[in-house]
Amino acid sequence: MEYDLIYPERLGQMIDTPCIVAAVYFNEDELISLGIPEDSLEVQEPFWDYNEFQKPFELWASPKFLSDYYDRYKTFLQQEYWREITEEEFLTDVSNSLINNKKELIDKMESNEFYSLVEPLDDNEEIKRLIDSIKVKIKQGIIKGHHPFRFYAIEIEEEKCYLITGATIKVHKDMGKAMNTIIELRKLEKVYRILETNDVKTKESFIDFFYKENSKK
Amino acid sequence: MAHNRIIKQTSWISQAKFEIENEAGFLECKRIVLRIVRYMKDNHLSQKELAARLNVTPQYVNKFLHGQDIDLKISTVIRYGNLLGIKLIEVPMEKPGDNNLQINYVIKISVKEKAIQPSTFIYSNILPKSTFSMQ
Repeated sequence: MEYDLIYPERLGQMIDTPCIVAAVYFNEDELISLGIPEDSLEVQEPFWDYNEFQKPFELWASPKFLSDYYDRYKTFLQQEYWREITEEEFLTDVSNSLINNKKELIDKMESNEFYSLVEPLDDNEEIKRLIDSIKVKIKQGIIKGHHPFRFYAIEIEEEKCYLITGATIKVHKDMGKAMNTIIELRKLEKVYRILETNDVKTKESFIDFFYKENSKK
Repeated sequence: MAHNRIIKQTSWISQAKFEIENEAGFLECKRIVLRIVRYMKDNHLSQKELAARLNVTPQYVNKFLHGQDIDLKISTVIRYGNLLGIKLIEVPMEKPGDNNLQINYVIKISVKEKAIQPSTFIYSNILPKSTFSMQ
């Protein structure tokens, strides 16, 4: 596992930046152990080099990926909730959302307000928030009137430090009902345990951890 | 076994800003690629076979199908459609200044002959919908 800095853009700015955003990089073996199929595009060239923040944007820009995604989750997508969205409508809505997603994320990062996009993953995480790092989600984009794009992260310190663990297009309201969100839950849990083991609970401790881990590369 | 990662030097923010500025028109290209992806699945065509049919390299096909470097020319799209025997594009044309008359230039790809047969259909809003003339 590796860690990449998303914002600020330069390592030397981390200490002075009020709200830093980083992302995890899982290699193919780690992703497969988390449940991603070996033939999935996520573990193939060229996507295998991207961290868990950059990769979703690359995948969501791929017509082939979106077509495979649509086929894989067709039973969910062709239900009334999604107004029986067609494959082409799915690609169109995803593509249109990508631009807006990028704009919003950049705007919030550069104004050090990334935290305003974040919500606790569920009520249990909300309760823990005052005393501990928690699992969070960022909702974005629009498909057929719904907001199904999800980035998942560990909020290491509220309003100050976030580590993105993955992203997906949520097809079912219950994360435990679809494989893509089950895998995101596993990623969250894995990263949460590592941070806990290394006593990473604040922005400062994460910066130390980040430099230590990156020196191993 | 995991490969050795090549670290990206460009920051995501810089790359994203560039993409935002240059995104116009790519949606249409992606729609075209999606039609080819669907054609491949329906006809059980591999990427290698597609590359052979289009007279391009497999590496290009891989990038193409993932929407990378797809600033497609109309002539390229027409050629791909012709080679595969599928319709990939319609180019409507409107007579300047005439809101009642719409001329649609439809490029039809004949599956049997695999030849382009351009036809011009003139639709007029003042005529019943079932009425049209072909020239």
